[in-house]
Amino acid sequence: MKKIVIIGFIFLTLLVSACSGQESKKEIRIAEQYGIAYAPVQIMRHKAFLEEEIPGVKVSWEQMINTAAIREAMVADKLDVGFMAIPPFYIGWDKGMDWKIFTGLSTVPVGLVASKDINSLKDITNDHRIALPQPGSIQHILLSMACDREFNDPNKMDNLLVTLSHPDGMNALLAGSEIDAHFTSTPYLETELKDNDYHQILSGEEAFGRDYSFIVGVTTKKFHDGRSDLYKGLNRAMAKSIDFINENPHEAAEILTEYFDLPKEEILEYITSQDTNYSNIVKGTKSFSDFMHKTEYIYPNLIMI
Amino acid sequence: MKDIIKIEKLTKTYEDNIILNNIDLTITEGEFVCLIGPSGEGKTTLLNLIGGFIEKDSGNIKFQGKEIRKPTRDCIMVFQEFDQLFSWKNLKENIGFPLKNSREKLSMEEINNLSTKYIEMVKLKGFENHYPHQLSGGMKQRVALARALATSPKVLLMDEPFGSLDAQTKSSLHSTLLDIWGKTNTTIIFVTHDVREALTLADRIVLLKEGIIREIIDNNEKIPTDKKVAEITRLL
Amino acid sequence: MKNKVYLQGYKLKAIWVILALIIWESIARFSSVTSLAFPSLTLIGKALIESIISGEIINQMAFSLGLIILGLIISILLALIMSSLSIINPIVENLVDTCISIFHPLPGIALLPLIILWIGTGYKAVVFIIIHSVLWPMILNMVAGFKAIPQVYKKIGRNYEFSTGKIISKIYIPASLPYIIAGLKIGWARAWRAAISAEMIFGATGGKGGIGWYIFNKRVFMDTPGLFAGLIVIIIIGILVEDLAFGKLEETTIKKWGIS
Repeated sequence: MKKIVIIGFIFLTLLVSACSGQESKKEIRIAEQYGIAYAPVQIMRHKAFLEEEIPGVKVSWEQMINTAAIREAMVADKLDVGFMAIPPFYIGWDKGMDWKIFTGLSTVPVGLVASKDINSLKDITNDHRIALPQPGSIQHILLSMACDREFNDPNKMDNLLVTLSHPDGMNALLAGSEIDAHFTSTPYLETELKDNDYHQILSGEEAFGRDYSFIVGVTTKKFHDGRSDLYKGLNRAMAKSIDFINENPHEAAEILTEYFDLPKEEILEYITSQDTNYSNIVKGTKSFSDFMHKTEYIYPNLIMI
Repeated sequence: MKDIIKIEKLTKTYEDNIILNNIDLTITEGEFVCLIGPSGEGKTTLLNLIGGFIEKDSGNIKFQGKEIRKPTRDCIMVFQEFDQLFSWKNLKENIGFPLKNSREKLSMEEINNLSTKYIEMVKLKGFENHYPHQLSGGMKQRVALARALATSPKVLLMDEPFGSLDAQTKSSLHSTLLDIWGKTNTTIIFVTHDVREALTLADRIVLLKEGIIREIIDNNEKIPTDKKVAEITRLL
Repeated sequence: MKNKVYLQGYKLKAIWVILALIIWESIARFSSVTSLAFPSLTLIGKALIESIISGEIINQMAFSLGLIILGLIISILLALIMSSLSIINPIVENLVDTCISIFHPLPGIALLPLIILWIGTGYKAVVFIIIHSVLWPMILNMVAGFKAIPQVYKKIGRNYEFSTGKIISKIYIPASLPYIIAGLKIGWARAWRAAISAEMIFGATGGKGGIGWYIFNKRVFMDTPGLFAGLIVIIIIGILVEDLAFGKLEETTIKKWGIS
């Protein structure tokens, strides 16, 4: 029995010690994410804007596979800053995560691509299958918004969804066997549209009703409150990066070739496209949260402790 | 008496070793023949050739005038190994196995009756539902004997079936075997290296040595006196 | 005596489980760890009961089990055919050996991008991954079992002039049952893992995605207690199948025959 108590004690100590992170060093732990929508983050890294704004800071770039991983890392206090769409932010907030949006980042072309025999949402039947990244993703919420407007039923297409990452979803759509439509974004959207058998039947803006921030920057309240020096520097560096892309698109595209597996001309085309916008203004939070309350993706009054 | 097995000029070599060299042997119906000889001198090879399990190099082996080319139901083999019983079948099912899978479709009742008959013949009444791992070595060989007899083969080929048993078990099996042989008129070819066993069981003892038949000894009395045992042992 | 030892084993296991639960609950209650990472047992229990009542967890589990059983049945049949053929014909044996060397070390999940292109994303793809995970170890076990069969059995089969098919079905298969059951156990474990991993990636079609998708969905919506509810159900099914189903199967076959 004594042994058991000792083992239990060791287990407990290990767990507690594993959960307490290091404090008060001048360090920012930030999620490393790739894509046209995240371009300012790559610029900030490449130009060392963070180091410029906060002299002496140590920036740790953490590889993160998806939004869920970012949230989990923040819960475990292994990450200070990440980037994602507004709906996943609200899901975490609803579940009791103490965090906030600190900047807008980008708006990129988002749309529902379908085969040519489908001309609008109305043509989608129960035999069709729609691929998108995951339930609760911005693509899912945008589709629900469109269904709500069109059919007065936000969940109309929920049973047709197939969860696939962007590249898998694109392959599945173009293979033409099982997936009839794909809700995706740059650059997969453009690649799919190059194929003459497919066309866009719904854009993100049409679904949302006006423009909105596709990707925003998020950080923990702990970081915001506890390290306001770092937080302010982060915001300045972010703004600088966004300005840099907007003012020097050619140089930015040149830099981004090091991070993306795309030629410079193509990157330039994407980042200067009319539908791509880099801005630190956060747009659309209220509409997203109202819609997600209404459709019970989040519950405003139920806070779990 | 009719001939049942006729062997003429049979030769079998194995990797340059002559196992059987130009052998002639005729076995008549209902006879009990023991093949005896030192181990590795071709007894088991000869039995396997008669059974059709291996191919000869030259010569003839005929069963009722027809060349033996592959194993048939006419000549059923009983082995020395205890694991010749199917471990997943109980005693009765083991005996019923060849009946169930025979060409002439027998009814369940016929199978049942035949199994019961042979269980009684090998004196294993009361053990019908035992699995092989619950039986002693002697009992297992009794079951193997009953299974071999179940389809009423013309010839029983027995390859040292009692070789791994103690003397007492052996002798009780000898009397059961002779008893059954008397009742069924089956021809038995029995391989052994035990001279006393051969003298107890056989009508004729065929002595194989260095690939040839050294001696064929008539043994009508079936009484293994020490003198006879010594005489034959000297020939080996 | 044996029973007593058995019982003590179970008692000890129960003590370990209870101890783990107590530690869990104390961490959840008394440490600063957020309930998002360490939900209390009450929250987990509530999530479990709710999803049982709503039928969601049962439906998803039934869906997963259905796929696994389908995959297992197809795998067993394929393994039987391929093992039998490779026992009969050395050329087929070589082919099967080659296939095993190539495919056995390849995790089904690694094939995923290809499977999406070739088969698509529905339940067929999950079944395909299950078959891939089960088939190769199953064949390895069956062939090993066939090769371990005593020579006398084969001789007996020939003696009664059985056809090859009959020798395989009446003698080879029952005689190698210990190997087949061992293969089935490995197969089940691998199918179970493969199905859950595949479901977590493929997602649901028509709302049905199995227990893996259930867990994935709970993660996406940050429903940690629900995630644990899914894990608990997976553990329970695992114990039920391995201890009860396979235990019973072994008791009525190889243990009874004394060949385990």
